[in-house]
Amino acid sequence: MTTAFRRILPAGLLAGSLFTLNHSWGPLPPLGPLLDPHHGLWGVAHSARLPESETATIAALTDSVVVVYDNRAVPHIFATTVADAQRALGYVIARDRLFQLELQARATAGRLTEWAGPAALELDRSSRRLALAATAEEEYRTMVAEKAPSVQALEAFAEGVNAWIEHLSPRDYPIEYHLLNARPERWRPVQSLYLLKRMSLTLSFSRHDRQYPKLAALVGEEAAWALIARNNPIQEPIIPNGTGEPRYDFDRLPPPRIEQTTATVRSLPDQSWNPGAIDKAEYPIGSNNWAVAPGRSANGSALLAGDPHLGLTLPSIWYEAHQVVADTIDSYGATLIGTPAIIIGFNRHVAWTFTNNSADVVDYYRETVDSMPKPGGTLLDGEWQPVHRRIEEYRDKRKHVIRRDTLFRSHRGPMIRDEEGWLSLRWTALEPSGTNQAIIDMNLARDVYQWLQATEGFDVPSQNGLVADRDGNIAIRSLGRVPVRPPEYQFIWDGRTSSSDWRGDYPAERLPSVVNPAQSFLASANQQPVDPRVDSTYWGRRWPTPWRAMRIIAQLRRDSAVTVDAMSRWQTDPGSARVEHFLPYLLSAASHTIGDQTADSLAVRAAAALEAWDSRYTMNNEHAVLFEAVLAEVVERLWDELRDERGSPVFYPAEATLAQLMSDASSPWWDDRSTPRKEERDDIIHASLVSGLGNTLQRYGESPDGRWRWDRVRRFTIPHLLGLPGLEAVGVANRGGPGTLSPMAMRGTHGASWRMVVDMGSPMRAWTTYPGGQSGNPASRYYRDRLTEWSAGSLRPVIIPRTPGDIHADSTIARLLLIPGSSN
Amino acid sequence: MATAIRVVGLAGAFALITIAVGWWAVAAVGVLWGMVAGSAVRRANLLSGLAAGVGWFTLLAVGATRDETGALMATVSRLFSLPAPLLVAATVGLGLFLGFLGSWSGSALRSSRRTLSR
Repeated sequence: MTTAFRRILPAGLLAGSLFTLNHSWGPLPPLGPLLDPHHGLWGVAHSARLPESETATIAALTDSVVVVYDNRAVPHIFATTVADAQRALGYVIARDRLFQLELQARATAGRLTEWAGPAALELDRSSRRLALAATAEEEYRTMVAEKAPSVQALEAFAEGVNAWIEHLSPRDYPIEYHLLNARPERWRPVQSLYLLKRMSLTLSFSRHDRQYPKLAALVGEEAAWALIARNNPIQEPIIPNGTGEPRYDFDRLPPPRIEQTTATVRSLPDQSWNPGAIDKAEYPIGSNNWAVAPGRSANGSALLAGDPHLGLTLPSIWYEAHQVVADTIDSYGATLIGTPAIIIGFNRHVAWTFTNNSADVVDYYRETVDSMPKPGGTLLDGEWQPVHRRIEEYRDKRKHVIRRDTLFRSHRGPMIRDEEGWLSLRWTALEPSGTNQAIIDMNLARDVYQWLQATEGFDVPSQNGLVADRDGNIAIRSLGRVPVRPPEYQFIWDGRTSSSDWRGDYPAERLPSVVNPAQSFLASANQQPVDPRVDSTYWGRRWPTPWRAMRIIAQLRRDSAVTVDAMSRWQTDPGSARVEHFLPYLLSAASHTIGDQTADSLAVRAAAALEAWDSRYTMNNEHAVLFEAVLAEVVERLWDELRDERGSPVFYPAEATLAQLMSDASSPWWDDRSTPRKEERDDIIHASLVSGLGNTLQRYGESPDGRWRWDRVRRFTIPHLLGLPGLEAVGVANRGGPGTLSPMAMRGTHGASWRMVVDMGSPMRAWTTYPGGQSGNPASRYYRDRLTEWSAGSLRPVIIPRTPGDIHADSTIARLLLIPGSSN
Repeated sequence: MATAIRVVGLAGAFALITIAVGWWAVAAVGVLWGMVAGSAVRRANLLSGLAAGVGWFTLLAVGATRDETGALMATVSRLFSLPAPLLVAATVGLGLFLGFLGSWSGSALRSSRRTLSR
């Protein structure tokens, strides 16, 4: 080695090391900045703890704002103007959930490739095809041009978020930014609209109509229509129908017309809106809410309970907060990350909550185009309508374009190409919406009637809004635009004629609604809102089977003096109307013999085990696992007609259809097409008992020593937003199962995302919890501190101070004073 | 004793420059140290590396007294499926590496300049 080389070597090594340490290699972030003991990952430990007392500035504030964090890390915001309260909310949400804010906005806008590169490309393409962000941008421009009052709210919220971002140093970045080697972007007011659009995608988007052609090809049109039924055959509607009990409209299901099948059922093309696996559970996202009027409550005041069910993540989709502006707003509850007001909660006058309403707000149109590869026009009433094109560019971390897409939009909405040609999508979420303003106005309501009026602008997503007030009024209404369609419903409409188009919306007063019903209680659990015998208006189809509604309404009918404790207990009630309906069929079929003695003995053993069950999904029961295994077998065997040429299921009918068939033991649907024999219901159930038990034994072994315990075999896995290992919650037990009030769906990733009970008496009291915690920082003690109470089904009382001084020092973990001024 | 004083003084300098500028500045201070002390101080490069490691360890230790360092270590340990102390070791090791390499480069630079000036 020469002397010169020896002298150059260290410098070369140093330069090379600095370069290597400052660059990403594969999925690894740059190690130099990451391991920096002051500015790097270690700073996450610093920001995990809220300073006991702190002063910060927000330039746009008109007066100082006091924020007191109580011992559940809930910020109580005391401001002198509504706009200042919104700025402060933006600030505290950014402080706790900055990464989540940006991730949601990027996911909606289809900009995840800028963080994750090509791995996120298909996700981004799917988001941009739906044009949710583009619609929000257009909506916001219109709002600004019309000087809509809610623009101020969105701007104020953004000012708060950006005040937090401006004073951040890399040391304070959330852990995800360190791992992605990214830095936070400034928040734009329109991005709050993105999030509402994203919620609409979660709650109000439907693919049922597009499933019809496949179904019809498999089983014939008549059967396909019946499987995507307009009315649920089990009626326990939201708007009381006066029957006092569930009604079973079990008509004979039209038989499958297999012999008519001519088409080969093909998979959907890759180019799709919201692609994904078909839902095995009929309705993975459900929610419950109910209220009792003073006449049925033990303490003589109205009581309200709500628990929306969603995909669960850490951190949670919800953030608990309290906004106080003297004589104007005093709202407490859960806000969606990015929204400048409380979404579900209460003020000093009313309490409100939502369940999802499966109203049909999506339609598909088969378009005739002038050019199949690149349409420039669609035919409508004999004339060509222009098709708008938009070039979408997807960029990587270094801002290099990694793909360009041309997206097409007809006068109805975004277009995609499928195996038949071009489809247009029309969906209420892709049109201007007043939802943001409605949410702000709900917070200002002083009674049930004002609240109902405030929600008239709530366009999308469709919800069942339940409200109770201090005067003892209770009410529920279907919220959201519901289009008036041509009378002859089509799953895929003929795009060539304007007679296929929507003919306006139903006015708010026509939407299902009731105030102070005679029964003195109201309950919704996503079921069909109105009994079609009472009102046959078309609101939607394929309504979730009302198992949860049946259970909660049964409890409410039984109890004429409902207490807060009962309301809270019912939220995790392990009883199941679904089990009560299906179990007798399973037990009676066990005695049916098919001549195979080994199988018979297994069937008898399975039936004996199920007979010993109390039908409750308690954590320590050892029978629910067998019931679920047997019912899953019944479903798989029953719907053998609904498989494509590769044997993959194309559609899972609602459980109400299964219930309907249970009452028709000799329906042709029960026949197993793979055998020469003609099976009936009991044959299928018998075989399912045998294989269900066999599967359970194979998977879990013999039941003694707790291996079949429900809390061991079915647990929640609550993933981190990015699916990062170690930042999720694994193995969270649940008192509940499919169809119970605290269900667990989609392999344990969906469940009750927020639970709340409010006593509208004097003084008002409330109890809440949600799975997770207030902080988005995994090193914070408030990241997942509520999981244990949530899993146990218990709620925590909330503090509802009128002034900062009302919160005891013992109940305070931090105080933040926000003052006007520049952060520099 | 002199060596200990040097290590403490250098460690302080490394810690302060890290807070003020960032991780890479450790290498810059190391270069300066190597240029100044490369031939005057015995084992100057090792001393620089040791001081940088001590400086960064001190920053971590101070943070641990007031921050949720334990919780972060547990989180990162789960995230990367690595033992929690490894994160500390990696951080201190990086400081040590940068301090050493910086000083070595500084010494070499100084030698080169001397040679050139002759």
